[in-house]
Amino acid sequence: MKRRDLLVAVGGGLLLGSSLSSAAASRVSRERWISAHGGESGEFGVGWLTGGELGGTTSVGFRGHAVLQHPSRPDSAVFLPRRPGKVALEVDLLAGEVRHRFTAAEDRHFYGHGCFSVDGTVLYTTESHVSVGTGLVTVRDANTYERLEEWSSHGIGPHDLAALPDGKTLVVANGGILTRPETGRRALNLPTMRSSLCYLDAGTGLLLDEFFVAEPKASIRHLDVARDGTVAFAIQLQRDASGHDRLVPLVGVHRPGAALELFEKPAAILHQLRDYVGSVAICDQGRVAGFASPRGNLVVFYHVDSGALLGYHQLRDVCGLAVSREREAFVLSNSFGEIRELDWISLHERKHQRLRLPDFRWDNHLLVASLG
Amino acid sequence: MAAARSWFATVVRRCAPACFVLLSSCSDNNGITPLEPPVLVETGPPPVTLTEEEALRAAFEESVDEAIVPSVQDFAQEATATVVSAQDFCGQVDEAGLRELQERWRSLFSRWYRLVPYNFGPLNDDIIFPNFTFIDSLRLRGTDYLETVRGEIARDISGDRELTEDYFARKTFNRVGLLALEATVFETSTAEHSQAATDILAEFDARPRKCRVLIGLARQIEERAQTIASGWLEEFQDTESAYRDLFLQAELEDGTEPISQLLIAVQEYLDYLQARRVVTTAAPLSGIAWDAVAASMDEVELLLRGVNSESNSFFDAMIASGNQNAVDGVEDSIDQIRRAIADRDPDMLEITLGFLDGNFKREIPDSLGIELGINFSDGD
Repeated sequence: MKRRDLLVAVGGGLLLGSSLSSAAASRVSRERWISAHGGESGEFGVGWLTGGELGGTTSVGFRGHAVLQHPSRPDSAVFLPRRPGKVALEVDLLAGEVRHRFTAAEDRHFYGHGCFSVDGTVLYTTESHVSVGTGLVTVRDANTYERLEEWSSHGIGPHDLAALPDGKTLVVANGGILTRPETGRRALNLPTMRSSLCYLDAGTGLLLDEFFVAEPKASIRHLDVARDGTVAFAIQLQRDASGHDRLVPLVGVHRPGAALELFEKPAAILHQLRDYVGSVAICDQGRVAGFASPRGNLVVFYHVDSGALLGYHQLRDVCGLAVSREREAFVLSNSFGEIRELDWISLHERKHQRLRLPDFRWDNHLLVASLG
Repeated sequence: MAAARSWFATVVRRCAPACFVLLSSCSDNNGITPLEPPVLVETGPPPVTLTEEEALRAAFEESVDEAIVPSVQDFAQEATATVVSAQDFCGQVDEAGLRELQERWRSLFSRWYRLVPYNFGPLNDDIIFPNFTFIDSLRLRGTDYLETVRGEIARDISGDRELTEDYFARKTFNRVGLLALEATVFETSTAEHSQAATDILAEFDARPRKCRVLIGLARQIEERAQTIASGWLEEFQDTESAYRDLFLQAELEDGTEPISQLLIAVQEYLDYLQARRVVTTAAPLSGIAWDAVAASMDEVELLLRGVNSESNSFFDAMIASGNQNAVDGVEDSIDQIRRAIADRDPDMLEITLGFLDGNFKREIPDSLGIELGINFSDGD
């Protein structure tokens, strides 16, 4: 795909019209806010903003999920497909062209998430070994995307993963749910599903440790890692399969050497999350973890260490959640094209910074990347 | 409230079905009736055809002012009437007064079941302590708090704490509301929980504190009902605007499109009715759960069909967008629910509520061109 195939907004105003406040439009920024999106016509792409202005968008022909900033090419973003996609892209955001296209191997598909190693030399992606039904972590060269190795994820349905700050460890959320391309998104193993949070040696893939939540139908799907290695994770409950209607905690943290810690209170908040938390982001400043529930139209914030509820923000169908160091804010996005900022300490919204791009249905995840 | 309706709702109506009447004059002329040209007599304004968007907007505006707001007002009025009834009863404790009080509670309960499908805005005003839970503790998660309120009432009656308005205002949601009032009005607080009128009257006579409990609980419901009404019609939280106006102008704080909010709320209510098998758990002492669910269905039907044939309704908007089949499907679901209610068949009710629940998730929003969000239900 070449530059001519991309729709890149020149000067940021092309697609925005009057939807941005003048304050937002005049920002000078060193960050890009990037997300997969769906369009009015059903087309899918990746879009990005800088300084409150639309920097560009490209149509990619498949629904994306997570976006990663390339470690050595910071103006490039790796765009991973939603499961069970087989094609991933590296997009040069400055040139407006696809630099690389890489695919899952035969009998494999992506699960939508990946991460680069701390030294930036390899890319890890969660994948499925389709015919066997087991989860994989595939290791690729970060420059060429050549497949180097393939490890077991030590579970079924691996979803999110991240590299720990020690540079030696990966943490993988094995959702525990088996799906197959031929049966779509239908869960095939609900009676036996088992989700886990696994720690792997980042060099060999060896299982270092694994943790399970008590509720057997709770699927750990998303995570984020604090500077000290604390992992915040988010759960989606398979309610129909659970056979009960008890409230199940959906968010929590794991500290190295400790047991999983679930945030169970207050019950009213738990109820409001509607059994579904779709993304998580940690702000190291203040040790705050945010968790977004699109079904609950709610983002909740807990203190990573005390587990205390610090605040919440209601936004319809919110799922995109990231931390902007430049704006000192949590940034939220939703499928109605809205973007909001919450001060990362007070958690109060900066209402004058609201953005709305109705043509952009921001998908589940939002990336805040520093400009190269 | 009718005066507050927008020009859209008052001026634009569905096509007048008979704007022109075809008249033919007849005369007897030697047994021969000559053919004369027909005369067209204009009998009303020309038909107005709404675009799909206009039809939806008109339906939405009428749903607010002719369904939601009247439900809010009716519940508030009934709550006030319940307080008056309780005060009258306590002024003269007798069987007629008890019957009147019990009937008033039933009416209040039914009014609530017409309002609670609209569980957003002033009803659901706080994420941790929303108004609706203090009226209907069952609605939160289907938990039956009957034993909790029984214990609380017994303690209040036998204790010596001053039963002030502030005391009742500070009670947690699972100790107040319609269930607590029901337990006060329909049974004794003794271990037997007798529902015999003579026993209930005897307790009110012998334990004057029970009247304080009765009035205290009734006032708390009235307080919540008035808060909901003033939120809808005067000012909602600190917005300096009535929620009605915010809702109609699509200025909701969380950015939700009002019609989406409305459809989702009703859909969630239908889901609640079936998932919690409300007909077997609600109103355990008065036995009017079936009637209450029927009242909810009256409300849902009013919402969709409009107040009368002249209304601009959601059904009209669906038909205007070429979705008569979807309307037929929804009507069929409602008919089946009605039959299940008439038969007092909880299993069939659960199944048929599921049909209508599905209609609110798919056919209705799809027909109206309403987007519920791409992350909303597809999970990842």
